Amino acid sequence: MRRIFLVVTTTLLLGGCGDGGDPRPGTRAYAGAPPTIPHQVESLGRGNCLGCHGAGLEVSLDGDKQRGPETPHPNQLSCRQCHVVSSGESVAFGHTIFQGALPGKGGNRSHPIAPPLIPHPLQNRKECLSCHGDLGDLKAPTSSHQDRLSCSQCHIPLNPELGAWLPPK
Amino acid sequence: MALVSLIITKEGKESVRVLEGGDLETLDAQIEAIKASGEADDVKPVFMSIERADFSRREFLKRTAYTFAAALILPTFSSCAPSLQQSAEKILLSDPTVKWNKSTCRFCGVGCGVMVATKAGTVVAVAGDEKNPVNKGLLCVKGYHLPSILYGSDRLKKPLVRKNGELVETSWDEALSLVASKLSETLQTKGPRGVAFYGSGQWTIQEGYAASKFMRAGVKSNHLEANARLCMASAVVGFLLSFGKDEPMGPYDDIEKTDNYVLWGNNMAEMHPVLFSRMLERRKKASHVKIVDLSTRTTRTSQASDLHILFKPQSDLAIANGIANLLIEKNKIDKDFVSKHCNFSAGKEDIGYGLEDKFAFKKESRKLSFEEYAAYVAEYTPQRVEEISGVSPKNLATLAEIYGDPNSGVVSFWCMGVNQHTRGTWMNNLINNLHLLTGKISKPGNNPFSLTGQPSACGTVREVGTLAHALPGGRKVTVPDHRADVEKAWNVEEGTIPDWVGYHTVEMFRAVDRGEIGWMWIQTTNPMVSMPKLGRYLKAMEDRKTFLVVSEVYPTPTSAVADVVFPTNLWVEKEGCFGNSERRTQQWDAIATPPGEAKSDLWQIIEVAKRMGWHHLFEGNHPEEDLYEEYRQLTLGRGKDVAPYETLKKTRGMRWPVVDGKETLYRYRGGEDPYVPDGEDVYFYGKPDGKAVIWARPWEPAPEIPDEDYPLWLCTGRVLEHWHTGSMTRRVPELHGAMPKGFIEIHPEDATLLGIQDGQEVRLTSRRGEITLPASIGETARGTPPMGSVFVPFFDESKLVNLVTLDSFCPLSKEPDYKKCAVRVEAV
Ligand code: SF4
Repeated sequence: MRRIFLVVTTTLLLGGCGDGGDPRPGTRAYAGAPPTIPHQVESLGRGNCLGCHGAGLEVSLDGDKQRGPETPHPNQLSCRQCHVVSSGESVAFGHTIFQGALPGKGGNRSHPIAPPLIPHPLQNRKECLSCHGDLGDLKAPTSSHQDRLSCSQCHIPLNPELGAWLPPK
Repeated sequence: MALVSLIITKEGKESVRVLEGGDLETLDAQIEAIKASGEADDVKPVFMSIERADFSRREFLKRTAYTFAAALILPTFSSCAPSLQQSAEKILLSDPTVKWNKSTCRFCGVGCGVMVATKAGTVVAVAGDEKNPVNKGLLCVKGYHLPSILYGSDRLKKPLVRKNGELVETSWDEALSLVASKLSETLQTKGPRGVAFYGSGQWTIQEGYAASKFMRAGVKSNHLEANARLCMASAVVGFLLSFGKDEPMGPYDDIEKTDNYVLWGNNMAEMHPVLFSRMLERRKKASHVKIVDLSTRTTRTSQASDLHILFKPQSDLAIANGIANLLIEKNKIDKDFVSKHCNFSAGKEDIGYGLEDKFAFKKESRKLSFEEYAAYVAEYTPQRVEEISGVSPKNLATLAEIYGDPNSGVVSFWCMGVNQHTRGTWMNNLINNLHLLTGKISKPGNNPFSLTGQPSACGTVREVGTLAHALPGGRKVTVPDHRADVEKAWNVEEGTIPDWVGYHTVEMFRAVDRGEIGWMWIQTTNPMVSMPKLGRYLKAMEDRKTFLVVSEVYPTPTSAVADVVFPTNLWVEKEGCFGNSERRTQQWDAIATPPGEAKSDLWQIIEVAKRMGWHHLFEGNHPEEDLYEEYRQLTLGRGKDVAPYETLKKTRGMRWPVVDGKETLYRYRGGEDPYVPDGEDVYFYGKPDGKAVIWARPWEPAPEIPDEDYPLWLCTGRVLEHWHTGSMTRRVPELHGAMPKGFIEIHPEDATLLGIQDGQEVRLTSRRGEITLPASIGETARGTPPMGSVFVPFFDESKLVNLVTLDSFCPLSKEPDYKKCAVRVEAV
């Protein structure tokens, strides 16, 4: 069985963001940046990130759903090359004035029943269901047809001819 | 069989551990065992890998009726911080006015291709360049956070001059005129030997080339150095002595072609991350592929390796000789290759450590026969090697099998561990020896591969020749014909370039302290954090012993002691080229608007030159292209032919020698390298007879060895998140957030003996100085040194570990050893 929808209720009260919303925008410097890891990990561990992020999981804690999403790029094996744990400290000097770009506002359809276009970069996102599956990103729309596996057959990148948001191939 | 994730709580700190092979029936017992071992105050299971589990979900739920601490998926810290994107004016990546351009990473010597998105001159995102064969679309965390290095709130925006002891803002005109008049004054009072220029492997090729012209043809001094002296000088001298020409013979393509990687003191998982992930991918596809990590500390690289061999500091020399001895003993050498392509030599021994000012060393060598060489290494028996290094005869035999197996490929990788070594040149020769003895060189999947730390240590420092003895295209200031070639290309009078070798880096800063240097310019580096035995040089600068000009992007400890600070463009705010570790020259355009009045290092050099009346050195209106093309002429026909600028603009770089539009993957190999004469399979054309040299080099001890007063070895180095002295990366929230301060790693048992706990402030003392910093011990530590050793990274300018280090260096390469000195550690 590839995916298990795991719901565990506990008595533990969660700290963290009260809105229970998607933690990811705050963990990315810009659209397409690798998110920082919002939990502790062993620094010298054997790289068991896939223990949770291989298949993905969801835990519901007093109704507050938290997800450990499936990696969208299982072929890449040195997780901490790109993903680091944040201590919450910002910068050592001054502050940053960097404003990272956001993904495009998405879902454009040419008519009400046309498949929506893809509003974000696809680099390192080879597995669509890692975000759009049952255990995916809470803010990403969950696919209503996860049994169809050829996503790009119907969904194409927004404005591909502009090449504006994807590095030119 | 299951993977069980556990949350371990120890003294209020939580971490995650995964029990591999965790079996449900004995889960309780396993958890109790962890608690009983004292490693944890509390243990909670969180999740089991369903894919590998052979039990039902119901059973899992029943079994895990513990309180679930979902720390694993808690949205902590950063996720709660107000998102920048939410507060900022929103720029969408789908905006058609967002432009993408190619560039190369500003940080390490891997030289990854980066696609950069800008909107109206502001960088808004980057992506790995999928067209670039170096990284094939992937970056590391530093590369992904390149945009933020441009946008720290304290970027330097106006020139500063020191008035009444304070650095105050001024105009470019006043700053440049002051710098030029002080230079004229120094030339009058002290002559050209009183002037010094110090740059780095982060100079673009054009900047380094301009600095070389400025010094040699303008000032007429060879006191031109780059911090690459502190980083790969031993590799340069090692390659020159072994092959007669500098730089590796192989390409990165070897990573996908070889069967074994032997890493000599090289924590690639953190220092060359993209190459390391290429190795991991290769190993996953071909399960026979092995990673052997030879190191003096357990790191992330060791964790991912198939065989991790810890050795005692300085003993790598004995290990390499021990392997050579076994290869000969077991008849594993390629006799045909050795007789056709190699000579044997021995050099001077017991050569000192450069600790005294004006240390002098003269090379000597004599030829050996194969039998004499074999007798020389025969002293390095497995037993003797074990005594010196702690490496078991079994592991030594495994290494010899890897190098000696004619049917399997091997690439040796090394970087600072081998180069920052008082016998660094020797150690480079010894690794080259192993590939020469076995003929595993200059062919796919088999090469000695010295990596560089900096993005253009090769392109700018080694190839342009921004070192005290070097000229472009592998030329030397001491060779009359070489000076004449360069004078002709520069259109300056014969005899302009001085024939004396300038001060190497350590001696240059010692000369500042001696009061010999009246005027010094520092660009693209931060020596007031990175010099060994820093106290001496910091004091010399604070005593204003030289007029110091610093080109910088942010305030640093170096700019703090300057008389003039030039605000400088960074990365894609300027146009330029870098040359990476595999001889690939890459070009990028200026696509971002620099802050305030900042200007490029190149512009600054040209403007000062103009005020000195040296206009003739910098003619033309597009200096980046004009200087590059002028430089290129000096590389042609010298085995270093770089590609034309136009080609570089269109491609993702080319690996020199580039002849007839074709790059070279394997140097010295017939049919691959256009410099190899027809009919030769391999020809080391850097040597007059085409033969490489196998050097007899001994193991000799380090200059300072732990004793009763200073009982521990200190090793210094980098971490994944920070670039060098942290002046850029500590201004990036994601990078600083992940690694906010310097630390000292101590082995848990040493820590117990010393009564030191994780996180506790400790004092680190050597004969040179002391600092205090927090201890990092156990599971949260980045690495673990063995007992008797400690490790401190050098990125944190508030914890200057170089106040503690020793300024001993390799007498041949003059590269200091930052990896070994004796220290004491105590709780404060
Ligand atoms: S720091 Fe090195 S490995 Fe990381 S992206 Fe830059 S060049 Fe690549």
